Amino acid sequence: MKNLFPAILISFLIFSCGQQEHKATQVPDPDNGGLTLPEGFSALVVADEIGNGRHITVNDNGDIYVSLRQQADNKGIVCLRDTAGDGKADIVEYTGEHTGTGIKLHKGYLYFGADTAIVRYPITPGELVPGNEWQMIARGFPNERQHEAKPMAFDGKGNMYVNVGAPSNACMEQSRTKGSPGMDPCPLLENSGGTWKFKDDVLNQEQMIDGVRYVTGIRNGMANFWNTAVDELYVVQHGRDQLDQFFPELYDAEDNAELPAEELFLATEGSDFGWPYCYYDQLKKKKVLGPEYGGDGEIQGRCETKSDPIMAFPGHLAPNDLLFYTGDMFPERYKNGAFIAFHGSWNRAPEPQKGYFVVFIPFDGSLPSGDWEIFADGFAGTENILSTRDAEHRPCGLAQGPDGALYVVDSIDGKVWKIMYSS
Amino acid sequence: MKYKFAVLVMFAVLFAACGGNNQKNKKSVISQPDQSAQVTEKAATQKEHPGKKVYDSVCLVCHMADGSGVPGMHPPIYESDFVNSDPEQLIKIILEGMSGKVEVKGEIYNSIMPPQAHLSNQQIADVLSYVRSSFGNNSGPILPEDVQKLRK
Repeated sequence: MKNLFPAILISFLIFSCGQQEHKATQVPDPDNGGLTLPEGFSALVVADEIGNGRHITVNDNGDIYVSLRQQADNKGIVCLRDTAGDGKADIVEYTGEHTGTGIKLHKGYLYFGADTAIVRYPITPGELVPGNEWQMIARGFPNERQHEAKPMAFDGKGNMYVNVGAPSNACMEQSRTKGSPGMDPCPLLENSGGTWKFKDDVLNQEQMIDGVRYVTGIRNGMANFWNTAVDELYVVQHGRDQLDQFFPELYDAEDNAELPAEELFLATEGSDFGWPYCYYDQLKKKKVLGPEYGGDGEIQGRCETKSDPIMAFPGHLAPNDLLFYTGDMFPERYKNGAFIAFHGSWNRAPEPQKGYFVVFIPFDGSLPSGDWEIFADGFAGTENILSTRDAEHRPCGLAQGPDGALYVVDSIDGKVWKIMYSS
Repeated sequence: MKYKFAVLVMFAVLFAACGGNNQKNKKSVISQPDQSAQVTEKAATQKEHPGKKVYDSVCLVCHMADGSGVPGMHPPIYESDFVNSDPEQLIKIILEGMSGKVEVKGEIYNSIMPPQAHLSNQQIADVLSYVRSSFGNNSGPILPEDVQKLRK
């Protein structure tokens, strides 16, 4: 509070200079906040130790909002503001009673994906902290103890898309229990394992009454994004775990470390991506029948007709956020391409863990125009990661700032980086 | 800054003296080779402990090779009150599984641990005895008959 006067003074100065001035005065950290980046890119640490960050969104005025998995200061949303114009948050406020993952600004509200509902908090223009009077947008989601994150996307045509993860590994009768058969048909697909479409501005919608199942067969879609360049929905999926543990006669630990693929989907309405009956083998480049449903790692069966991913990644890397870049700051090849934040693995043990990085995929229209590449690395702070906890930071959320910079939030301490480019 | 540094030094001394630990320090404490012959000898016997085989094939996948678990999902089992306290509760977790939010060392974990009742009484006794005497835990063994008593 004692620093309020200079802060007010500075904010007046900034307002009189206009927001664009920020860019010129922002100096990257000498070590880029510990990140390794492509040539021409640099980074600064916006905030640190703000809580277990999940997803992140940035308002037109540069205000930043981060969702928390676990309450900090008895609140579930962190609000960050930079009044000095150096890119670093000097105001950190906590608000909101919900915890969860999805967080996006839309129509003057901060939409929040609490694990069993989508709510929204009102934003007053110019004020950092949203009002407390939240409204219920969508509810009735299953009460889940795994894969409960509720990310949301907006198409700009009055609709909201919510991923509902399936609370299951492969729809076995007894969850994650060796020898338990897969349920067929899988009843979980009725209210989870897909994306549901709602109105973006109607209160108190019920998933099973007002929601429409838009796509299905997605085990755990931790992020979705509406790509305005082509007007399509995209979803990233966490593939299944424990192939070698439940089927040691078919898979060994090395197979399990690589299989199945993590997937990026072009989620056109009505698509079925195959979970729990199928998984995608990125080495064989095909969807195969899961072992709980009679598969042997080779046969395709009913999976021949399921939709393939448009990009596949090694197993268990955990794609936790997705963003299509529309800014002007980065070079032309990044425009309309996809960034994905990988949280890093746990289910590659006893093989080393990996994947604690942000990747980029160039796009031409609705499809990738090249392979995926590591864009930002070094979050884990170490190369050799045997246990997940060895990673110092784990990228979990992505957002684009009004100046075209890319923000990344970490789930361990809530460290926030701003990645910039200058030619 | 000076004050902060002094406090840090004080804590570091305290931790070193008490063999204490916290999550940030966990890695260095566990991976540091201990020079005392007693501990080395214990580590060697732990390597051949019959419970280690069960741990490596059933538990390691989620609780990790060093017992540190997965943040937000699978709780750590090193220096754990769950592991060191009530053996009955511990056996029940193995037999019946556990799910939903649980707080361990100030962090919330939310996932599902499936029942492991398919393991034999001997295997469960072995793995629990192993875990209770490894990963910085220091509690007595569990016998197959303790497990049998709690089977339904």
